[in-house]
Amino acid sequence: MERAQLLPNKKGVGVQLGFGIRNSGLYISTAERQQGERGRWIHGGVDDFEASRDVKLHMTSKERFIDCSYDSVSNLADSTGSSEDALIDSVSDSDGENHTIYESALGVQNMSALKESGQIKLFKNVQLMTESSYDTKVINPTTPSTYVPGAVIKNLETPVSKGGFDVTSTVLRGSPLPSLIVDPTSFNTFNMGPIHTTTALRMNRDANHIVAFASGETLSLLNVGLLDDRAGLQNPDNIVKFDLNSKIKNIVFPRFSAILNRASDCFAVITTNSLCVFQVRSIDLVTGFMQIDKLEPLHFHALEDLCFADVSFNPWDFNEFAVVDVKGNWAMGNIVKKASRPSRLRLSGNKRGSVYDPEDISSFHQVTWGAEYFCLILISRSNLIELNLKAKTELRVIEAKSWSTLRDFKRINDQFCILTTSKEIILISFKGRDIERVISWKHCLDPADITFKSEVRHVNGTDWGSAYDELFFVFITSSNKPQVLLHVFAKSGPVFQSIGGSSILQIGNSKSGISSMIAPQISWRGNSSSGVIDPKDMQGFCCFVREADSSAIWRVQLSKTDLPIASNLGNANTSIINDSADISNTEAFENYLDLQTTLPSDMNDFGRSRQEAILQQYGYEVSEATNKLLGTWNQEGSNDGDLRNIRAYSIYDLAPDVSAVENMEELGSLLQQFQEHYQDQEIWFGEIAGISSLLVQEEITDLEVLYNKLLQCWAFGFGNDVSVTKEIVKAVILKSLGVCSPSLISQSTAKVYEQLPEKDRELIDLWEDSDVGASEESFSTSKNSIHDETSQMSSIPPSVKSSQPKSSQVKISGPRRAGESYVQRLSRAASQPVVGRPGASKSQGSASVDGFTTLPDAMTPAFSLTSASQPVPTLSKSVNSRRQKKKKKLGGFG
Amino acid sequence: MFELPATQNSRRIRTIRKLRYQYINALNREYRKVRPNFSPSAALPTPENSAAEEVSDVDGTSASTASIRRKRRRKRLLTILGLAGDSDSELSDSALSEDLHDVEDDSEAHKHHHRYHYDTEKEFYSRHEKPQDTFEVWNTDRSRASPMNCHSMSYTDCKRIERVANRRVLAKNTHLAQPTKLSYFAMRNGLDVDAGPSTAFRDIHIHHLSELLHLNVMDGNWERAYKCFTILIRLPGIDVRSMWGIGVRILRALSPRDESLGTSEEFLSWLSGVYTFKSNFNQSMNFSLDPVFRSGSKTHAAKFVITSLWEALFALIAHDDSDYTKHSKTMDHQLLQLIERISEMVLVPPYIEDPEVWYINSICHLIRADTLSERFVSTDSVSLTGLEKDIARNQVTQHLTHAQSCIKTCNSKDNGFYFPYRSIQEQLALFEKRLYIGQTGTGLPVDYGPGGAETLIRSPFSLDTQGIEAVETSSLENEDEEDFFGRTERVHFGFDSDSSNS
Repeated sequence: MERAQLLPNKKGVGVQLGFGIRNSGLYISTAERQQGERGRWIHGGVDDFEASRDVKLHMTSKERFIDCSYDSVSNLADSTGSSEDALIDSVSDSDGENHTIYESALGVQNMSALKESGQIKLFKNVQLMTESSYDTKVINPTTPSTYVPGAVIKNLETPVSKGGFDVTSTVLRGSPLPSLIVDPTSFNTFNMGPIHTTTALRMNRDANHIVAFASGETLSLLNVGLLDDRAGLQNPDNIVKFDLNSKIKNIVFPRFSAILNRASDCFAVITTNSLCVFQVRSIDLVTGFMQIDKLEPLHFHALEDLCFADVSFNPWDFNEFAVVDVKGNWAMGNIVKKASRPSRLRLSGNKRGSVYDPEDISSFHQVTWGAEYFCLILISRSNLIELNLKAKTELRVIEAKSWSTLRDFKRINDQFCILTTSKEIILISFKGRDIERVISWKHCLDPADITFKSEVRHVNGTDWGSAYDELFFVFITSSNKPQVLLHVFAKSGPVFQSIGGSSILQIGNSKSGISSMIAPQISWRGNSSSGVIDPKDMQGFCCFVREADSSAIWRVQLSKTDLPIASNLGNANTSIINDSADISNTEAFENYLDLQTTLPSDMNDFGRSRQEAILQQYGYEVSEATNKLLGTWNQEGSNDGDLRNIRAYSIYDLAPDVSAVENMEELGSLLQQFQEHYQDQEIWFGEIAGISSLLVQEEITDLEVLYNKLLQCWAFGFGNDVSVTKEIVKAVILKSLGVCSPSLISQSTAKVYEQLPEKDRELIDLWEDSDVGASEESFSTSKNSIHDETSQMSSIPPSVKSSQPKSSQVKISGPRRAGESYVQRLSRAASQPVVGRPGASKSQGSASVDGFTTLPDAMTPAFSLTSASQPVPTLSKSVNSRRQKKKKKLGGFG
Repeated sequence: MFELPATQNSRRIRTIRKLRYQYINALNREYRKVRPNFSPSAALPTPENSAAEEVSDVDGTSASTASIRRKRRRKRLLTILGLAGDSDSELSDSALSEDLHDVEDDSEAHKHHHRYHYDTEKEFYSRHEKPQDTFEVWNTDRSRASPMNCHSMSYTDCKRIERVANRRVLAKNTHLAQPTKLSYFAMRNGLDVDAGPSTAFRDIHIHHLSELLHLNVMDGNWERAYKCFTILIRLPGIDVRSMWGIGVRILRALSPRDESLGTSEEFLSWLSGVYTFKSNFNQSMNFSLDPVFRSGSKTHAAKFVITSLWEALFALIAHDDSDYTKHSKTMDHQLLQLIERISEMVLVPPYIEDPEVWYINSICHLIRADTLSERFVSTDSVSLTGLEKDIARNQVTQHLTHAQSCIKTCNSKDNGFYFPYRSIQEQLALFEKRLYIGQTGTGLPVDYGPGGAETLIRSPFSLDTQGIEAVETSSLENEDEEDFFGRTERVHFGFDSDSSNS
């Protein structure tokens, strides 16, 4: 008996895999192995690094494909002018249409209809548009705007602003309802597929890909556009629009069997009250203009008066389709064409039946063709049923009533399908004598999430540069989460394997979930204009993603990760991000990670002379690095070209750690000398006062004093307190003090300002008018003050903090600068948790501590608190606080 | 985003569940009135099922007596199973938690319906088999198809039974919180309802940790994932069995680098040692967590046990060729240990009935036969004297026989197990052929290097007598291994020598 899976597996279970489970091996005996095979086993789950790297994807680009947020009645009216033919077509067909909106008995559905896009505006009276020109053509042209029944307004106190267009998180009586209510029948509001018009067939041309999506506030407008050969819209102005006057729930493109090698000329749309089939008559490839006929819609009363949930076309017969309604009644239908009359839809009288299950109350239903032309597959939340129309039998293949429910079903080709349940991704083979559960992967996603949808991209292994024959990329999206789970199955000969673990794809920076994701099964030419297919483009593909919250559809290019990722070694895979704003974030993150998580060990005792030598060497290294930095800054400033490299460098970045610091005062004076040395250059220094105000809420300019204060706080009574504190103070100081070049910043500010579009520039101008003068001023004074401070220690205006001018500078200098200051802020903030929160050392007020800067280094910690300027300078208090510390410590460590 | 290793339970979630099953049961009852011959899947007449019905039939008024009776039954069941005092067992665990459920339900306002939630769910499940191997009941045999239902469900019928069912449910639940009511209405109208995450502090903590764990595993940050894992499994209410797979994966990545950590095989064998497989999976009980990947019972071999066997096997033969010869001594020893362990396992359920364990058993023998018979073709074979050769040959033959018999047992099990039967038979035939290379092909050059095996596969037809060719064809025909083994009889020295060898 021919079976799809060669690996050992149980009947009805298949190869069942998950994280850590690579069961079902085939042993390769020693003899066979020496013929050049790599491993000794063929695992069910391939887990080695090379294989999983081959199928790792990352997002290379994300572009806005189309944004349909501007669609409204007025726009529709506009489009009547531009593409009149299309509208007249739709109008003339819809003459006999019944325009009552399908209303369920339930308020929730109405409200889910409300929430289509963004903020809704409630209005109590609905004024129908009374323009007479519309009366004759469209009976009810106002449907695209929101109608809210009075009863709902009474219930609704706050307008809902969050959630997807098919996801409702309802607000009732002011109390948020934690439950999510989702309409499972509104499945695909965006789809694309190949279309072969009759003329194209006659001329022996390839199929054109068209995109159809719903837009408008109630998702009742159908937009149809033509894709060009680079997966962009051929002509965004020539999008054909239809107002279907009821919410579009599902758009279906027929997929024909690969052996036919052609595509259909029609696609179907299910709305809340009917099934519409659109036939593409002609496509003008140059202008992208399409002539589309809307066939007379098939209303629900043709079957059993229940809403249709899904429709599917026979992959081997162009005119046959099957529908299923929300209760599981199904019927086959035909597109009937009689010579003179226009085509119409007709449901078969005898090829119908029901798979109604009273235990399945969700209205989710899907229908697809099986492996043969007479086999239908019906999917509901708890059943997968195969109907054999020839033998008039049905087989309940899956009954999911206990541990999981079915989420989505995707037909890959005539043999294989991928079923996503709340627990697993299952590859099923429908061909052959028995249905076979080939391989499954436990995906570990939240089984309670009801908004899973899956998409499968089938890729030829040799094109992909992989050792496997075929690859199946399975994407799972959710309307609640912006991340996409990717899992890959591979087929090589009769062996099906799962490659690596799953991975998470982050589609851009969006926060909202994904309502649908489409991965067309063709490779576009990519972005290269040469027309030659770049082999790199073959190792990636294009996906289209519609976000749940916004009306935008994005085109996402996914490609194989070529980078030699050392992901085995940890956090190296953050380097893929190429957005400049993000880089600073990752750097900050890495700085954060660099921090030690253990207390430094006791230092070796260095002699005094050795100490001096070390410090001298260190000072030399720092100044050397600074000189180099100055050189590059000057160069960048002069050539005016690439100003990307503006960032602040901490002293730690300039030179590696100074190994041992016996005397803090020495280090302090080193830093001070460093500042003095470079003060005539245009360099901005970070200063100790900033850090000290963060750490001890006091502005201290002398390192020694700061160190003594901290030592007082952190003295736990262990033997190595002194050295530990020294190490930490040293690390904090070196990592958070730094240099940057303010002249470059002003230059880049000007440059960024020039690059801004007019609108934003105006905004900035407005800003500057009120604010910039003051901030410039404060910046210059502070700059002076820093230099002053270094030269004449005692005359600091205490109110000026170093962080202030920086933040005001941030405001004008745009996002890049903001990112940098963010780095600094983060690295500062990051250094805090390590040193602990010196909360007890909060001193009263931020009095000036000028007097202490020149104190000798033999000053005791207690003495440092007895300041003349401090109102309560008692020794006993400090002792008290120390005692409290100790108590706390006991609690913490015990 | 990811699955939690614990169940979330709050009053809201429970109430919604209760309403759901009440409605479904009512709907089902009404539907049967309309279509009396309807039976989606007839319940299996197991003792547990009938017990469940008995319990569910008990009237709500005599609740106290019913609960006493239930407890008594449970106690009796436990004593039968010999687990009466064993609080670690699956059964008493879930029993306890269910009792807890009841207590909690009691505390709710509806005193007179206090057992209803428990019963409705049970009533629902009494009609359905709870699978243990898969999350769903799979029925892949096309020959079991039933006649198609050609009558569609009309709108009026549908609405009528829904109306009646709704009336029944509402009559039982007069007081419902507004959000619950809304969820119920949505559910009734065919919408999907996600009750939302629990907002208890503990649940949020678990939630965050498991998110971190999964993301780090997917990114390959094994150290951080390990940290999350270690914290997570120590939290109360977390069953390590619901996340062992991830633990194995992390350990597999980390243990080669960090000597202080145990290996994944050790972790797996710890799991299989600690968690019992002797418990009964009680169909009438409502378990909150699925047993598919998580646990084992008398009728379901736990996935971690099977994985532990496979992983032990993979670990044995994972070395490269160069290492392999070096480690062959220790490998031999470990392999024998594994064989011993499996042969002990297959004496009791569930493993005696599990074809996969038998298959692994046969693979173990096959590997041993492979490694032993390889000596005959490698250069070392010259050092084998006549007696040694005979003993070695005897060993190989024995392992071949064992492998064959295991495969036969594996095939004889009811629940079908598929494996590449032909290629395994070919492998076995090849190993047997190796034994007689020195004998039949007298002109065989002794300098058969390590690469010589390649020629071996193709050469035997020219070298050997027709006997081996016949073996080849018989294995191709896939049919009678009897015949195939009849031929091996000539080199049998008896089964008893096994003990002396090992």
